Amino acid sequence: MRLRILDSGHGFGTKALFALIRSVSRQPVLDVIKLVKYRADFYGRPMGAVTQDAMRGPSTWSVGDRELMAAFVAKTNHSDFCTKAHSAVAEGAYRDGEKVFAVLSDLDTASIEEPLRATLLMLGKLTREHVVDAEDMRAVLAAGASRNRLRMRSRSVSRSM
Amino acid sequence: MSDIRKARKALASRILQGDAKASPSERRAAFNNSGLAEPAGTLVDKVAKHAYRVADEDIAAARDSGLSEDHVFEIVVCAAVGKATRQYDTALAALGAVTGEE
Repeated sequence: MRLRILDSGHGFGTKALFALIRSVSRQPVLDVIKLVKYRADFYGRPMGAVTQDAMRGPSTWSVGDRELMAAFVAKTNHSDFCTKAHSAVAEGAYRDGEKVFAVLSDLDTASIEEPLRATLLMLGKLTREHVVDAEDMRAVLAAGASRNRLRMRSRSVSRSM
Repeated sequence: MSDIRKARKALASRILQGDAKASPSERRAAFNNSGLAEPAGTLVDKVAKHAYRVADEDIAAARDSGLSEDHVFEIVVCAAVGKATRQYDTALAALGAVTGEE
């Protein structure tokens, strides 16, 4: 059972927007759009500010890196939709679909920079086990990721919940 | 305070303290995944620990217990944001333990 309010509880303006989306795209409105548009003052708008800063705000990680991290966290969370959505954006940002496929298939053997690999490993553990410790962080720093880059990347988990 | 910290604080403040159908104490309990009566407690625990296992039956049980759909919507959002917040804080604390910074 899904919440009916997320299908039909939106205000008039949002319903009109959804009708336009369906008409132009000839596709149903995505569930994630229905979610963030429902009582947007409660969740969608404040969460959107977090998302914008984490995924597109100033960072030494590229947009491709950040989208790849989001895809990796989503895969660890068994979220097929989010994995595909972030993968597609990462592929576009990198202009390299094979890189994204390789990371999501086998992180250990993917041909990527070591700081990125170590950071993904840490994010995977954080997502899977809900904890990381100082030893995990030392491993990432030893791989070459900077302190500031790691502070920024803890945001990926917040983004991919 | 950085932009991300401001944004996260604003999000938590809105869902926990702003106008809503669920009481502030219920939203805080969902955020902390602690102390909610059943069946909402089971739903919130699933959202926090393995959201992909949430099933139609979990939502139906919450509704059948008398919660409105808006009420369910709010506690699910609080549970998800609460879990993400704990992970974020855990990671920053681990990093701070190594670098000596907050």
